[in-house]
Amino acid sequence: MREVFLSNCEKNFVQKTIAEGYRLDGRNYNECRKLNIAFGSEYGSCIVSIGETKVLSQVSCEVVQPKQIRPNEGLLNINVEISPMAAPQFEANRQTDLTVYLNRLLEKCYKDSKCIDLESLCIVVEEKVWSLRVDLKILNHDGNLIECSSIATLASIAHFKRPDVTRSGESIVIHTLADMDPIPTVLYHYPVCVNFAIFKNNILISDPSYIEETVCTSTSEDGTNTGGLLVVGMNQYKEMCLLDLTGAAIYNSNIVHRAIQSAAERCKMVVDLVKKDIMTDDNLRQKRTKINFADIITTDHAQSLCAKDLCIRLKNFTINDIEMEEETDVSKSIDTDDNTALSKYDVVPSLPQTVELKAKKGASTWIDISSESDED
Amino acid sequence: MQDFKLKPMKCELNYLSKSDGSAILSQGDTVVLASVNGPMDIKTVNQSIEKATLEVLFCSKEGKPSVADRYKENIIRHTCETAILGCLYPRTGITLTIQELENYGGLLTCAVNCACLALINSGVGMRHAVAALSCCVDGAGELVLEPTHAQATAARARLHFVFDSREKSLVTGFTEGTFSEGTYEEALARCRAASDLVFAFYRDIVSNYCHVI
Repeated sequence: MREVFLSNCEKNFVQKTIAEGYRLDGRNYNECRKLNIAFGSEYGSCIVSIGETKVLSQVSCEVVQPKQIRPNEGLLNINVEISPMAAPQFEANRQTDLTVYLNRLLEKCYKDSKCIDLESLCIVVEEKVWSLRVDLKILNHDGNLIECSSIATLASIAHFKRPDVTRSGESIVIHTLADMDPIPTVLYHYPVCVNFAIFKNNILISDPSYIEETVCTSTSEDGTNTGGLLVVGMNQYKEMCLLDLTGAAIYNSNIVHRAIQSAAERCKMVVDLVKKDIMTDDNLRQKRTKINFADIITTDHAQSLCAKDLCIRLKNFTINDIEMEEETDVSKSIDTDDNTALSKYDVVPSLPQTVELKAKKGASTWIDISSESDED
Repeated sequence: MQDFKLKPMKCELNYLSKSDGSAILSQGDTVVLASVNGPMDIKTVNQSIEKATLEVLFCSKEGKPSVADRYKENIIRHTCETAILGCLYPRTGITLTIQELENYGGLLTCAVNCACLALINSGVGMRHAVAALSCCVDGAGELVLEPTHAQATAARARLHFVFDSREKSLVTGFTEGTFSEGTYEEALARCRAASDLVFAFYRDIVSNYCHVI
């Protein structure tokens, strides 16, 4: 299926609301969606989700011959795949520009920044080294793929453990996981790619959703393009390892500085979360708890229109408001047509059965927003 | 419904927001994610004037796509083609993508069941639902229903069956290893009886979801 293009109406609307300080999902400019990392049963497998964007990552290793120019270094390969599962417009087994772009950025961020100790992956110089392969599968594309896949890469590499190897003379023995404790990968630092959308050359938006990404890179009504996507790769020590811009040129260095500052905070937060999650996962594994992707299956999310899936939320719109409005509506309708019984086609505001209240039971972001504004 | 015990099953529908229908299913420790898109426009070359074209893609968790993946795709495509009422949507395409998340035996049966749940969730017209079950013959010649990973790898023969929901007739059947005709008949009968449990599970899941819609 061909990609569905955005209409001018949608584009202008998004541009306008963002210029006025609002986002479609009710976030602030520098607010990110919820980040969640779930680990699988094998070492080095995880599903990372930012909001509804989901990426599956799996690290695998094999023994290969090293490259001639670097005989004592292991290899690292990153492989991104976008199947029709991510969104209907993608075709199976076909490389798109997006796949190549993601692959390039991730290789720059993780290979060229030298965050992995490749020399520790060497078994016999010039003969045998470990080759790590990171397989990223995009499960759901709802914007900000680069940040999600970079966190997935980082989490799975940091989580991965390779089998232990012992040398006795000429022969090399690779031990199974049950035989000997596996060895974790050595990471010097933890780089993360943070993605920003630029609107009108001065508005910086972190964690853009799919529609925001599409709007900011497309040309506006008067034929000019004043937005773009800025990717900042940074590690937990606030050292930058990657800067990439797609879209219109920036003529104001101020915006890059702002992006770097906000990326530094975000990176710190993400790296802390990744480390914490790996620690808890490790502790659970030591207690022989079974960890499996089956844990991510929940049964409380039963409705496709409940708050989890609503992509458009209003910032100053709370559940209390709805109740008040509908109560007055009821009283009005009773006042005006007192005697006429309601036909079955009339909309009866029976709140306990509406979807909004169903959402109340599950912890949803909608409720979070409303509770904040309650305090206001 | 005799005292058959299947692996514990857990399922969530609408796991992915961008697909028309999606399901994540775990059977024991094996977990599979499936997504359905369609019926939608496809290239004229692939269009059929009689029915919808079903395209199945099976993605393994790691490594390059292999022949084994193509084999699984083929089985799932043939099974689902009989289940879908393709004649309702001529000149269109339906894409079914299956992603392996965990493999601890019974991956293919889990994939078929998950594909069926995703198809139900997407609202594509179907003749019947399908349920896949597997059986294996262990070293002593005993039949084991829904074997674990260790049991299946050590087994002398593995038999897989897919049944439809209306008449419990056989939709797909494939086997590996050697076994007698009698064993085949017995395995078929056992799996057919146990398929009731799978259909009951489907019904539970769907009823959970339809009372809120």
